[in-house]
Amino acid sequence: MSPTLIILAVFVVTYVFIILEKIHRTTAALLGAGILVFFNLLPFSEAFEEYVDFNVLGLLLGMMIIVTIMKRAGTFQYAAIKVARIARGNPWYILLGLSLITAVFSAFLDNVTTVLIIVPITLLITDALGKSPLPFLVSEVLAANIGGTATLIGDPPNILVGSAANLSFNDFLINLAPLVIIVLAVTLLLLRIIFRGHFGVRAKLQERIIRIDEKKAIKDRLLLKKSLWVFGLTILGFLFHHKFGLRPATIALMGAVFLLLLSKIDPGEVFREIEWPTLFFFAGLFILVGSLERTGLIERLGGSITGLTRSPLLICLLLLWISALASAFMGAVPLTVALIPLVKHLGMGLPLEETAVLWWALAMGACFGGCGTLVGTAASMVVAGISEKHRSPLTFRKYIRIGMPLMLLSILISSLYLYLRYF
Amino acid sequence: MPPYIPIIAGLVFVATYALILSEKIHRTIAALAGAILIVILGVRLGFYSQEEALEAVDFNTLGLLFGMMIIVNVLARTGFFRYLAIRSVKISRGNFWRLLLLLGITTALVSMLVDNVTTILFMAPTTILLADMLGINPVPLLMTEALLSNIGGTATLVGDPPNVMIGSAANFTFNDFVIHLLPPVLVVFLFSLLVLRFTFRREIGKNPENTERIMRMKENEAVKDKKTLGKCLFSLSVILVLFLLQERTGLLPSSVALLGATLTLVLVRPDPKEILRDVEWVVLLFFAALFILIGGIEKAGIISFLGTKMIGFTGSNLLLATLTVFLVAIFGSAIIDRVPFTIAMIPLIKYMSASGLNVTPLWWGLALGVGLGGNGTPIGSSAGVVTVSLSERTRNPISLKEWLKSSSLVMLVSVIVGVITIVFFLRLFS
Repeated sequence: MSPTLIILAVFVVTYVFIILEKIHRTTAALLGAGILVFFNLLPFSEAFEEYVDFNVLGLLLGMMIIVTIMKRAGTFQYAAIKVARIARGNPWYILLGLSLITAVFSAFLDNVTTVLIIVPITLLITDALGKSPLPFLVSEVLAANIGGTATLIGDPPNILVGSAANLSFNDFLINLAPLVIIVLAVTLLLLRIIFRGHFGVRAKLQERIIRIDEKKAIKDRLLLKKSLWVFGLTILGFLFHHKFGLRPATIALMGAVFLLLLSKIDPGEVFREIEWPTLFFFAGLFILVGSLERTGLIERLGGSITGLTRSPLLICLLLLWISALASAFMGAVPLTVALIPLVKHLGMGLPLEETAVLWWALAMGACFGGCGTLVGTAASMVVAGISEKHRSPLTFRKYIRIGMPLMLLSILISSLYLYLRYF
Repeated sequence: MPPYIPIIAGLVFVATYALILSEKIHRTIAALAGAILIVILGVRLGFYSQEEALEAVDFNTLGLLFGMMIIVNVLARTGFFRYLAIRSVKISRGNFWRLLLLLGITTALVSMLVDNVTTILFMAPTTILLADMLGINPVPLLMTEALLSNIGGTATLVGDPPNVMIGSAANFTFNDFVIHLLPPVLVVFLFSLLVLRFTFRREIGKNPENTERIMRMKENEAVKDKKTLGKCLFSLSVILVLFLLQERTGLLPSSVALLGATLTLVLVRPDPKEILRDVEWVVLLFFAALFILIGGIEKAGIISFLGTKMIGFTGSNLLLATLTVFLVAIFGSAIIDRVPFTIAMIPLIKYMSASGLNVTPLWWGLALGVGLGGNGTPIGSSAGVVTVSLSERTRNPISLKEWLKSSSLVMLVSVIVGVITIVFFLRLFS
C-alpha cells in the first residue's frame, strides 16, 4: 500500500474517532500523529518544526495564563453579577446583558473559560428567578461563538487562520468585526422573538437579584486591577503587533509573563490549570494535516476545485457554506486545520486581496458554523456539560432546533456581506 | 554588528541569571522574562528572530523530559515508589549512612545507563516518601542523588544528553567514553562519598526513629494496582533496551521516551487531563526559556567572540587549550545548564579544530567539565533543577545555600581531579 493511502487512512480514521468522541479527542489526535511519526511516514523533526504551528500554541498558552489569573481574581464573576443587578432582575435584560458580556469576553479571551464561569452564574440567577435556563444558555452559546469571531484571538479558527495567512489583529477587526456586530444583533433580536413567552417574572423574585452584592464576587481586588491593566496592555500590544514585527504569540506570552511577575502567584499552580490537552490536541491535528498535505493530496483537491470554476465569488461562497456545515458537525477546530492547506493552494493563483477574502470566508464559515450544533465548538460542549447536572439540561436536540436555523441565517448574512463588501 | 548588541544581550543574560540565582522570583518566571526580553530586543535590533528563537529550543531534551515525566506519573499512581521506599528502608535497616550509600550508589549506577533526569524522576519521589515515613529531612539524601547522578552520568555515552551530543559531534563510541572517562569519574565519585559523609555527619550520627514501624510494613501491599505496574515496567524495559541500543537504531532519546510514554498511555489508558496536569510544566518551560535566551546570546555574537578570545589565548598549546576548555566547561556549565552550554560549546570546538588543532583532548575536556560542572549550582544541570523543584513541594526545599553546602566541596574535588587527569594523562586523551 502506498504511503499516501496509509496517511489518508490514518487521517480519516483519526478524524472519525475525534468526531464520534469514543475516546478523548486529544488521545485520538496524538495517537494518529504518533502512528504517522513512528512508522516513519513523517520524520519527527520535520513534523515538529514545519507543521506544528507554534504561534498558535504560544498564543493559546499566553492567553490561557492571563485568563486563569483573571479568573482567580474573580473578574468574570463580578462582571456577570453586576450585569444581573444593573438589569434589575428583568429576565430579558439579564439575558441581553449576559450574552453581551459573553460576546465581548469571548472576543478577547478564550471562549471555554468565559463560558465555564458565566454559565454556572447564569444557572444560579435563573434558579433564583424561577425561570428555565434554556433561552439563556442557547443565547450564551451563540454569543460566545459569534463574539469570538470578531478578533484574531477570539475563536480558535481565527487564531489558526490568522497564523497560517499572516493576518494581523487589525485585519480581523476591520474585516470581521462589522459582520459580527450585525449577526449578533440579528441573532439576539430573533431570540427575543423565539422566546417571547419566557420573560415574565414575579417581582418578589426580582428583588432577590437586586440584592446580590457583586463586590463579594471579587476574590482579590488588587489582583483584579493588575490583571485588567495587563489585559488592556496586551490588547494594545495586539493592536500594534504587526508594526513591531512581533507575532501574536510573542505578545500574548509577554502579557502572560508580565502578569505572572506582577501577580506573584506560584507559577506551578497557574500551569496546572492550563488546558494542556487542548494544546496537545492542536499539535496532533497539525501533524496529521501536515502529513496529509505532504502527500500532495490536498494540492490536487485544490486543483480540481479551481478546475471546476474560475469564479472567485463562487469559490468563496462554496467555502463559506461547506465549512459552516462541516464545522457544525465535525467541530470548528478539526475543520479549520484541515482546510487551511486547501485554501492556501486555492489562493496561490490569485492576487493577495482575493486570497484574503478566501480566508475570511473560511473564518466566518468555521466560526459561525460552530453555532449550528452543540458539538461544533469546545465552548458549546462545555455549556452542555455544565447544564447536564441541572434539572432542565440543554440537550443536543433542544439546541439544534434553534441553533441550526440561526446559524444558517448567519451564513446567509455572511454571504451577502462577502458579496457586497468584496465583489 | 554594532558593538552595543552583544553588550545589551550580555546584560539581559547576566540579569536573568542573577535573578534566577537570587531566588527573589520564581526561576521559571525569571527565565521566561529573560527569554521574552531577548526576543523582543532581537526583533527590534535585528539580531534574533522569533523563528530563530523557536529553533533554539532543544525539543529533544524537552521531549525526553516530558516522555519520562508521563511514565513516572502513571507509575507513581500504582504505588511503586512507596514500594521502593519501604524496600530501601528494609535493606538499609534504618542506618542513615547505609541508606545514603544505597540510594547514592543506585543513583550513580542507573545514571550511567539512563539519563540523569529520568534517574532523578524515579529516585527523588521514592526518597521523599521514605524520608517522610521515617520522619527525617530528605535533603541530604536528595543532594546525594543529584550530585552522584551528575557524576555517574558523565562516565558513559548514554549517561546524559551532553555526552550524546559530544559523542555525536566527535564521533566517539560507548567504549571510548568508558575507557577515557570512567577512571576520573570513579575517583571523583569516591571522594564525593567522603565529602558527603563529612557534610552530613550530623544526620548520619542520628538514626531515624520510625524504623521499627517501617520494618514491619509489607511493601507488596504498597502496590495498589499490580496490573498497571506490570504494564509500566514493560514500557520501561522497552525504553531501557532502546536507550542502550541508541547507537544502532539512531533514535533520538526523546523519540524513545515519547514512544515509551505512548506505549504506557495506550496500555494503561488514564485520563489525559489528569496525566498532563501533573507534568512538571514549570521545569519544561524553564528549560524552553533558557534555550531561547542562550540562542539569543549566540546570535548576538557573544559565543563566537569568546571562542576567538580563547583561541587567541591558548594558541596551539594543546595542554593549555584542553585545560582552558575543561575549566571553562566546568564553571560555565555550573551556571548555565549543561545542555545549552554544550550546544554552545560544540561549534566553538569545531571552530578551533578548523584552525588545525588536534581537538580530541578538547572534546574529553568538555565532556568531563560539563559532566562534573553540572553540580556547581542548582540550575547547572537538569537533574539539579528537577531535584530542587521536587524538593520545593516538601517541608525542606533546597535553597541555593543548601545546595552549595555539599556541592562546593564536590566541585573542588572535581576540579582538582580533572586538572590532574588532564595534566598527567594528556597523551592518553589524544
